[in-house]
Amino acid sequence: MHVLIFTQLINGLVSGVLITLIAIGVALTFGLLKVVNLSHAAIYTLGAYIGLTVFQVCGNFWIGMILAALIAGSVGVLFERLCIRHAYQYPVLGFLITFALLMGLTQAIRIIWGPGNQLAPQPAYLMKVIYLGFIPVSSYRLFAILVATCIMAGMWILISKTNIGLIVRASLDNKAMVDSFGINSSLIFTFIFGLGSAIAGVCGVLGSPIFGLFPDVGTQMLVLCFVVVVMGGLGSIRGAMLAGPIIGVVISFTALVSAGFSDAVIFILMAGILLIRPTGFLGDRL
Amino acid sequence: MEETLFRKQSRVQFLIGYAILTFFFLVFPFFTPYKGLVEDIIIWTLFAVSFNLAFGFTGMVSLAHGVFFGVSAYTVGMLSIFWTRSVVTIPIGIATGTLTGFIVGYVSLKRARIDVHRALRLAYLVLISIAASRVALYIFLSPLGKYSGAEMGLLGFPNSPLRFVGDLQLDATSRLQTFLIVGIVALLMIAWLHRMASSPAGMIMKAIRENEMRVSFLGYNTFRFKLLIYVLSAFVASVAGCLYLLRSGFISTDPFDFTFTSELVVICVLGGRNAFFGPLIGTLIFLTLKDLISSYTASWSLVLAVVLIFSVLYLPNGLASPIFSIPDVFLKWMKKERPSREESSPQLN
Repeated sequence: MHVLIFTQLINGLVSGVLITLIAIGVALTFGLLKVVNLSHAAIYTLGAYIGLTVFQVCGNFWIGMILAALIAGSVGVLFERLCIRHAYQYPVLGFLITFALLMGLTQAIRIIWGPGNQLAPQPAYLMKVIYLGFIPVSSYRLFAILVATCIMAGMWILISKTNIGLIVRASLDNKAMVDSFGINSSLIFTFIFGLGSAIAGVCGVLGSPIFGLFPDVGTQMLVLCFVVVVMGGLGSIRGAMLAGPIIGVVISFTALVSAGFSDAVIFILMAGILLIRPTGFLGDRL
Repeated sequence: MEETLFRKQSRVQFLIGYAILTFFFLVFPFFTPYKGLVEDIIIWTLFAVSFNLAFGFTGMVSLAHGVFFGVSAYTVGMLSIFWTRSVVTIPIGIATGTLTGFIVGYVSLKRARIDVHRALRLAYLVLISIAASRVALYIFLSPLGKYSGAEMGLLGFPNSPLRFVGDLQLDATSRLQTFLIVGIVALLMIAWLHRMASSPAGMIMKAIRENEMRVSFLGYNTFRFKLLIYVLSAFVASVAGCLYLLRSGFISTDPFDFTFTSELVVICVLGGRNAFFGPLIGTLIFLTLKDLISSYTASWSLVLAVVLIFSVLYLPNGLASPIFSIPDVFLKWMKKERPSREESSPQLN
């Protein structure tokens, strides 16, 4: 029984970290562009399927991840340039457009790769069980948490240490002022959108052995992502990093009670947190 | 998004419009081979018009209206199968749906206050309504699964006529009764909502959509007003749920999925969010297209996505404004025609 609890704890942490990684893209686009980006889910699914195809063709997991990042990122840039750009002034229209993109891309994926479940790619050298003390853990999960942490650290360095991060943070604060310095903030928006999408694509490849691989997996993850983003404070990246693992652990422990129960619990948790602390954990600006 | 406030509509136009609507709702279903489709269009029109009152007029994007639809239909169905076969179940079902609407509306609107950024208000509404749909799905699948039939959906409803006063019975299997009930209830509800939307209350709804802060400066309690509109549209959604159950005799957990309500969003955008009868046009086009396209290809949602993107980008006022301006243009043309003849006739002489 103790072993089960510890295993569930670690599994919850792993899925929590992956959800956080997807949620960071949503949090960035929301904080910067004030658009509830639903198309993020479809881009996650696209990344997962590209990983699958590349793995089937050349059998290399890493190439799959890189290609997924590139293609997902460019699709994100395309979406932003062609459609979402026109709706920044009207949040409702932005929501509608991203919803339409989600629906269209999911259906396109269903046409290309088929509607059923697929066996997710997993490199052979990671299909082992590692014992942390007395707790058995799948080595793939450890690998996933390692890669996810690296990407998150990279994001943190990019946002807080580099010039691009400075511009991004400044645009979060006051877009008009950044524009008046002669910096093309619309280019920054496109960049952030592409970056978020690329990370979602990598997450798709990383997460598909854990969360499954079917055309609607993105929508399922998106709902969890939104819970993470709302609980952490809308638009706050550090808040999402705090809330993600908590949500993951809550899901994996409530799944011990009953499978459908975890869905209801996290949403009631979210509604409760919103009622008590409307800004979430770390969101201070409304 | 320009539109004329205080636009006077002629009485003739009003009467002709309602005559067409009455014909379509009450008489048309008896003479068409596509009875199911027409009944669906009537129920969905009612549902979409009430949804548009919250979505298009007041600017509240809620994806939980399917929940109210489903909760009321399930309550009526479950009570009439397991408790009593009487008409009493219908008001109870509608009340349950409306109460659910009140709870969801209260929680989400309490958070979406005036001092919150516009995009955040939208996000809170959307997220809490998605949360509500997930919780409702869980409740009806798992704890109530014994009664609601879980994934199979609620079966066995249409075999039981509902008792009314004395010997009167509401028989869901009778085509005539269902047609008349669906048509009359939908027509009355739409007329009532139309009356409300064209009253000063409708003006406040639009004002809240445009700038909620200023409306509150005028002394209106926008929270209570928005909650009122939300509960009202939840009430009409519950009525639509009951009608749907009476017509089809079947309800599944599909409405609890938030994609169900997002179809309503598409209908409202397609038809026109600013016009009261926009959703009518939207439903007509949407359901007919869905019926047609689904018979050719399975990828209906791809077409839907393309239509939605184009209508949002290039037709933000929907198809209603060009269609409804046809009578106006026609009338103007008629009026212009006469003086030109009088002018031209003296010249000939």
